[in-house]
Amino acid sequence: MRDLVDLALSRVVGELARINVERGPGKPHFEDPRYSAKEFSAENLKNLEKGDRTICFVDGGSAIIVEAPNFVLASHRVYYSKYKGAERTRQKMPNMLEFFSLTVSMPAPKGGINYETKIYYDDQNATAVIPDSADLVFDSFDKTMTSGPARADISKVSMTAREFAEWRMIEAVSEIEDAEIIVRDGSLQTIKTNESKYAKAAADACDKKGIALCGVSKTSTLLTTTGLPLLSAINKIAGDSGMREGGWYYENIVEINHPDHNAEMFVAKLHPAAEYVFRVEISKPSLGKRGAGEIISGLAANATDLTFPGYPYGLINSDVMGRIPNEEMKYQKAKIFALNASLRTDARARDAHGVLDSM
Amino acid sequence: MEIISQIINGAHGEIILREKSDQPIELGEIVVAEDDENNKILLQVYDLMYGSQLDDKRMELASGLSVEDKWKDLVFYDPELRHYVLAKARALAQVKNGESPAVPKRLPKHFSMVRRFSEADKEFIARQDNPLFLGNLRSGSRVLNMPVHINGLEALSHHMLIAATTGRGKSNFLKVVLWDAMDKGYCGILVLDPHDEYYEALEKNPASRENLFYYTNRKGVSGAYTLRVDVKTIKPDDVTGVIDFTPAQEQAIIKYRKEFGDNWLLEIARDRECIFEKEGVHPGTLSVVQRKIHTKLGVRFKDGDFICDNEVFDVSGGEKTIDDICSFLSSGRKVIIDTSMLMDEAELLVGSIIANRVLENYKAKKAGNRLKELPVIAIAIEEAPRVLAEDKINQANNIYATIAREGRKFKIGLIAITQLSSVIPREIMANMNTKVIFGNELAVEREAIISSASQDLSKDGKNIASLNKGEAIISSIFTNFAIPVKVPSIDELIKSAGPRPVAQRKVV
Repeated sequence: MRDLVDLALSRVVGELARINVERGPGKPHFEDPRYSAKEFSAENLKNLEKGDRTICFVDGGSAIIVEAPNFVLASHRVYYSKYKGAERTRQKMPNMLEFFSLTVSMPAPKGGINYETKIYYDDQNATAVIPDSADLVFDSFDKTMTSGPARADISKVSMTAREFAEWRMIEAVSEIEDAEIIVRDGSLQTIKTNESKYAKAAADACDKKGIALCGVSKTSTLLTTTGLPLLSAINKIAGDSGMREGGWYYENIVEINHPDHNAEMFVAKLHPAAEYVFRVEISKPSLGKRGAGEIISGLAANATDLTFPGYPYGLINSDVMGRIPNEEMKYQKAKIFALNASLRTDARARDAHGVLDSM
Repeated sequence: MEIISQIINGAHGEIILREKSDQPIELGEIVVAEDDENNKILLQVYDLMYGSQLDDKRMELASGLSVEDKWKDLVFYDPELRHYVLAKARALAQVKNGESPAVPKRLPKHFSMVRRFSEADKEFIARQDNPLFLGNLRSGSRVLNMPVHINGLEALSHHMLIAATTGRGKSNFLKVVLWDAMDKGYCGILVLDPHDEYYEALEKNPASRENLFYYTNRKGVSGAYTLRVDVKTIKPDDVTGVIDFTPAQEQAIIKYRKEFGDNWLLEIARDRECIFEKEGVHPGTLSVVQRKIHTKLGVRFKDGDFICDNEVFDVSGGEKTIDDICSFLSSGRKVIIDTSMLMDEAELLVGSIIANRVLENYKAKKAGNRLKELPVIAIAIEEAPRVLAEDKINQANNIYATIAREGRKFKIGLIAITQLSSVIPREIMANMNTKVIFGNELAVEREAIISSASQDLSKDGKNIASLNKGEAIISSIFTNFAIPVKVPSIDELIKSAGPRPVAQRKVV
């Protein structure tokens, strides 16, 4: 049996090697016509410069405390850190803000079911990041949140409050901090209903202060026209161009004309020792004031941590601090059940995975 | 007070502190956790370890990038937040509102801030009656200006063990104790000094002229007494306690004692006829006893005369020596006997004779209800396993074992000095109610001390191993907790005392 498995796996490995060798890079592939892909060219590769920038990194995390078919109680945290190059600098406002959300299914005025989210918080500082409740009412079949014909997953809908809050955090940080760059974890493209309103407000606020707004994505599903991963293809071009020894970024990947994605896309290797390359997006208005080289080099100056060379440390920190640990979620859950034991019964109606997992 | 760490986790006896990056904590350091309700809990660090927010693989990779020197620009971001030192501590004592210290029965509050121990925390070190100085309080390697005393009257009668490997400060400690006790009438101390190292320092004590008596066979030592003991003052028990005799040999000795009283030893040496043969003393037995007396004590009979080959034992002098020494000791004086010229058994025999007399004397005083007014007498003996090892303590008439077991009832204690605590039986170790523990790299020795200490030192192995010269831990039934001390050098005490006043020795 073991031999058969080994044989199958060796065939798979061989097939993958053949695919990568036989296929050329092609060109970046985007299904959406609002994205005009550009031909690959080694001339699009640029060296990184040296220069520390004051950068704020924004991220957040959520944890579902109680989940039933008709409601989700979730805890949310948004966080930012501030660095000048490799040095952490003192932030000017509370950098960790927390709130709870309760998302419930409600009859929609025109029939059907809506998901409505209300937000609860004690910390008045959180007011600055709390999204408008009116923006958190969604049709349960909202296409931006469904996959396939089924109703949207209420737990995914409940995350929207935090996602909007992250945009609001960017807006607040841009107003108060003396940052040159603000970085969020992920793309600058907005997907969910009402999200673009918050993204635009954040981008406008940054633009007003001359701050470059960036998104750095740890993962990318983008492909080339030959079906290769876009980031791998660009990394190979860089390698073939003799840029293995230094940090670099690649521009002119695509021209984006999407109203909910007002950004330029880059791929960057932020340190020569980096094992990964990342997709970096920069808000278009930002590029009017600062060049891509300056902005991405600023990110590189914060990507020299020994534990993850080539990834901005501020994002590591914001990810860790913005996360709600499992223990904390369990504690909150216990508190909620202590206040209202019947919620435990409601929660059981959602699924019995927990029972199976414990067997 | 500056915060140096915070309690983050743990259990009673194993409290975990997270060190503040710029406030390094030392092994053995004493720290204080204080809460809003004026509770102070004293903690002592017994272990240190690294903590990190990174998993092992990530740290190994980071280290590789760093040590291979490939990427000089790579650094640890937020190093003080991500990599730190964790300290394990245990609670030693608790004080509430300035009351007397007590054994802590609760944990400090979770996330209590922790600061260093300072002179302002003096309430943790209880005042003692009959104070005997043991050293200055030490927190890690930081020495505080806080002298540590123990109740000398109690501690000396309940026996003291001074344990360490060579060069860690055992002799210096005893010198310091003697220095402090010199003018204290509540204790007489006898030191059997096989290296003749105590007198030179202690005679510089301002009170030495009246209180220190030095016996030696070295010539030309001013102020010294000649160490000469009349063999007629030796009793069978003195001898059988330190020299191995068979039961038949002991029986023979008893016969001579009964017949000749104080001359028993001389008569044994003289007897060529085996006068008690008909009463069961075999000539061969007598011959062996004679040989032992000759080889160990140097006493023999030749050409019609008694000859003593040993400088200490005499057939025609020194009849008052033992009585004098006992008298000095029972009047709270300190006596040093230079045994550096003596063979092992002779040294122990001298101590044995004195110890027997002192015990007899104090027993009689107790019977007459007069013991209370007398000082405690402590007998300091180097290389204590010579008389306190497993195979020695059950030897008939081993006066040292007798004192270790029941001396405290008669205000007589031992100061046992040793490198090898492990060969002293638990029963004796348990009776050593004050242990002065110096550094020791040998785990088996540390274990012997730890397992018989008056406080729970089970987690102090590393701490004891890491003690530097002069650093010690005092574990005693007379202290609230095991107290770390730094014993000052005797030279420092001599220097700070200044020149000794010129005066004539008081004749006692």
